Parts: sequence; structure tokens; C-alpha cells
Amino acid sequence: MSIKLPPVFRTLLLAFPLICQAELSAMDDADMQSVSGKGIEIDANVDFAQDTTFSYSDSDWGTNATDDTFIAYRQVIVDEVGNRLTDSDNDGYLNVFNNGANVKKSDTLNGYNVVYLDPRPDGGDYLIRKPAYIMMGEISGGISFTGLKFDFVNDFGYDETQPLTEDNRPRPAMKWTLPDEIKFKDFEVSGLYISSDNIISKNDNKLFGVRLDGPIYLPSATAAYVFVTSD
Amino acid sequence: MKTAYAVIISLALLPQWGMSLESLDESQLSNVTGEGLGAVIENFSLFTKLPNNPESGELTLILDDHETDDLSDDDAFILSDVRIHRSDFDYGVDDISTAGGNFGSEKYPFKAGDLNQVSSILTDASGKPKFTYTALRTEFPGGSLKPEDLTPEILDQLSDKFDLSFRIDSVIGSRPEGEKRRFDFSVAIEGFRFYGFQADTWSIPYYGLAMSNTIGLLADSIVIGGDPNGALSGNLSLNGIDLYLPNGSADQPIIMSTALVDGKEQLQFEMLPLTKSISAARGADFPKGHLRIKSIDFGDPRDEDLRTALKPGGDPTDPEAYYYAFQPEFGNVVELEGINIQHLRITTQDI
Repeated sequence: MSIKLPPVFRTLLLAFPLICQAELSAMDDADMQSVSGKGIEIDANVDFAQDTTFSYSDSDWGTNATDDTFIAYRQVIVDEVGNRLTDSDNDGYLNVFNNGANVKKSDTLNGYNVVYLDPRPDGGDYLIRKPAYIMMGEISGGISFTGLKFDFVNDFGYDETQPLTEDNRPRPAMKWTLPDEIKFKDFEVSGLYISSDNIISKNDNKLFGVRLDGPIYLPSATAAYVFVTSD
Repeated sequence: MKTAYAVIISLALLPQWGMSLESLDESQLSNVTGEGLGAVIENFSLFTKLPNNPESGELTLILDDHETDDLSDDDAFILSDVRIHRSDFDYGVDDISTAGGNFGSEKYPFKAGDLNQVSSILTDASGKPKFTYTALRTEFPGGSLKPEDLTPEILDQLSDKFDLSFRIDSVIGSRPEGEKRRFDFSVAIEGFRFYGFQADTWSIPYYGLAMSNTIGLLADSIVIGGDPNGALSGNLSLNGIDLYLPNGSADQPIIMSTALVDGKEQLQFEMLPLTKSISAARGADFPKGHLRIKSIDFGDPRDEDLRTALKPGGDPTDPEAYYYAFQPEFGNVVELEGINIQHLRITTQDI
């Protein structure tokens, strides 16, 4: 099969490895200082899709009433070389990867959440429960702030009143000036859920929810300097 | 056809192609260890309400929303009137723009993204650690300092002394008509600094996410207030707090997982048990935690009604010249030394 491409594309494709091999190198102090004083300012007004939260008054509240804004975490169990373990034969016990045998007591690091079928150290199946998802779901409401600023500075860590030394010298850093007020408008994470799958449903255990409303003030011109540390 | 070859050759030349993800060996790790992001925070203060400003923010922890959209029937704890500022700042008196204090210095910054090795103290037949993992380290200023490293000069480089205060109200169960929320208590942590505050996060076989951390806190006082108007008579004060607590280690990490309790999935944090072999390998030098409280006061420590006697030769107009009931000048010291957690499991519960 022949593919016809304009010559310019061919050249670009051939240059691909070269482009990919270009390394991201860190800016040295001198480069950094030449960009110092340039920055950006961000004003934001974020609305977390209030209309996608479900309503409890809806009688059709089914088993799949998930919201589309959520964060999920699940304990992933791996063996000592990093292979993911699952209960592949559905007997309630995790199986050793590619083997099918159940994970043994001797395979594990310490005692945890276990049922011994055979209490001998090297005999017997060792149960590690199938973990559930921990989900932070139904994020709604709004956050707004003005005046979050990012600037490059070149005089971080330098006390001008002291002599210039290896320790006391100007260094480059990124300066974040935080807004003096962050406003929350009914910002709510309506639940921290425990779920068997990554869908929030009515039967999942809802632990608690959090709501933030009103302003948070940072009135003293709070700034954070971020820099790269070394040994 | 030429172009097709060009694509294939280009792909074959991609340096990353086919390279598998392997864990870092020791020499590779030493190249990246110690490098990460540092941050220093200047002029930090935070309030949910400013003096002479009616607007205020609050955080609500919703325990049960009774499956309705109506916010008024929620069972909840409400956190409000949060103030974090430099310790010598006087709220309502000083100019609010001067409330900020510094966290961290160039020598002792916040650190994030530093890769670090965590090793078992148990060894195999050849004397090598039984296992070593690569962990992501996050630390507060002076996160690697131990209690014995502290000097006043180092403490001043870690951060200014800060005050933190807030109040907790609740709306739980039936309430009298017209009462929206009930004051529970207020907390004020005065003149505090963190040190030795460090957390490692990694993944271990068979368990998943593992964590270990240490926390060090020095504070002039922690005051728990039981009076909504801040009357001193409702206070419990712990003065001169010195807390240092190592939580977990490579051999005894904290695992975050879920557990099935009475047919319901619950969230569980567990510090794995301290086994006999780990305990034996640790020896006597293994770092242990402590909690020291110089004195505890109930109520107003200088309440006139609690005066028992004037000190010999004391000036009767000087409150300090009296002895007070329940406020011994010596002896109400709390010291817990050698704190060592054997096994800890925290599981959420339906109430």
C-alpha cells in the first residue's frame, strides 16, 4: 500500500525522532534572571456545573444516579514485582498473577484484614478483601477569586544588608501572590462515598459531605516562592 | 511506499519506544534524591471574617442530609470564625494587613516531590534490607529535624509563631423552636510551630497505597472554650505543649483501604501491627514519640472566687500574689514518653 503525503509532511515525519530527542533542560540562573519580572495574573470564576447534581425529590432515583464530577480512589493490590492481583476465580481470595493459586500468608508483608483458612505460616489461603472505591462525588457550586499572580523573581533568598556568600546570594524563584479574597458560593462536595464500582448509586455508603459558603480572606498580601531544591 | 517506510523508521528511532518502566536502582535514585520543589510562604494569614465586615465564610461538614435537597434539615457540624495569623498580631486592634507571618525559609522550605528510599529494618541472609521502596516525600519546614536537633535559632528559621482559632457549632437532632445551631466549643492554638512534619507515600505489594509520617508541634497553649462568648470560666487550657509523634514506618506503614462492616462498605485507615520480629530489630534507639504539657488550667486561672490564700508578703492587689484552687503552680505536668503505636485501625461507622 502506498500513502501519498506532501513532501513537507514527509520531512516532518523524518524529523520526528530528532524532535522527540530534544531534551527539556533546566534553565540556569542567568537564563532565569533574564525572564525575571515577567508573570501572569489570573482571575477566575469557576462554576462546578450545578445542574448536573441529581435531585433527591426525583422518584426515579435509580441505581445509576451518578454525577459526572467526581474523584475516585481504589486500593490496587499488587504482588512484589508490581503485577496487579485480582480474585480471578471468584472464590473471594486474591490470586497470584498468571498462576491462579491463591495468595499465601507467607507472600504478604504483615498481617492485615485477613481470614486464615489454614493458620500455618506457609499453608493456607490468605484472604485480602476485594477493595471498594472511595469516591468524592457530586461537586457543585462556584469558586471565584481575583488577583492570583505568578511572577519570576531573581532576588529570592538574598539579604542585601549581608555580604554576598554562597549561602546569601540572589536565586531565581517563581513567586505566587495569592488573592486577598476567595469567594465560595455554595461550593459543595455532597458526599464521600464507598462504592463497589466507580459509579455512585443510592445504596453506596455515604460517609459525609462538605459545604463551603462565603469568603475566605488572605488580607496580608500572602505570597509563596517556589523553587527547585537540591542536595 | 517511501513515506510508509519513513513512518516506520521514524517510529523505530523513537528513543522511548519499547522501553519498559523499571524501578530506579540506587545509583539512579541518588541522582534524583534531594531534588524536588521547595516553597516558602511569606505574610500568610487567613480569616473567614474580618473586623467591621458583616460577610463571613464557613465550612459545613454534612453528616446526614436526610436525602433531601433542603439544607435546613441537615445534621451537620459547622466550622466558622477561622483565624490564622502571626502570634503577636492582635485581632480587632492591629491593622489586618499586618497579620501575616512567614512559613519556611530558604534553608528550611516546604518540600514536595522529593524521591526517597524507605527500607525495612529487617535484613535478609546477606545483610541487606528485606525490602526497599521508592517513596514520594512531602515535608513542612524542618521536616527532617528530630526533637534533639531543635535550638531557638533553628526554630526561628522554620516559621514565625502562629495562632489558629475557630469555633464549632452543630445542628444535630431535634432543636428548640427558633434555634438554628448550637455552639459546641471553640479551639485556640496559640503560639504554635511545626517541626519534623514529614510524610512518605509509596506503594507496597499486596496492600497498595502506604504512608508513614512524623508530626512535631510546639505550642504556647491550646485552649478549648466551652462558652460561646469566650468567658474564661468555660476554658480548658493546656499550656506549654511539646508533641512529637512518628506514625508508621517502612515495616509498619499506614494503609488506606475499605472494609466491609455489618454489610456496609466503610473507609479504613490502618497502621499495620508491630510484629515481634520488627520490634526486636528496632532496638532501643528507634525514635519514639512524646507528649509533654507543662500545665493544665480549668476555668479562669485567675478567678477571684478560686483564691485560697495570699502568698506570704504578697501585694493583695496583685492577682499573681495569690494561691488558686485547682491551679497548682507546680506538679500538674503531663509527660508521656516513648509513645509507640502497636496497631491502629480507624474505621468509619454509621451512627
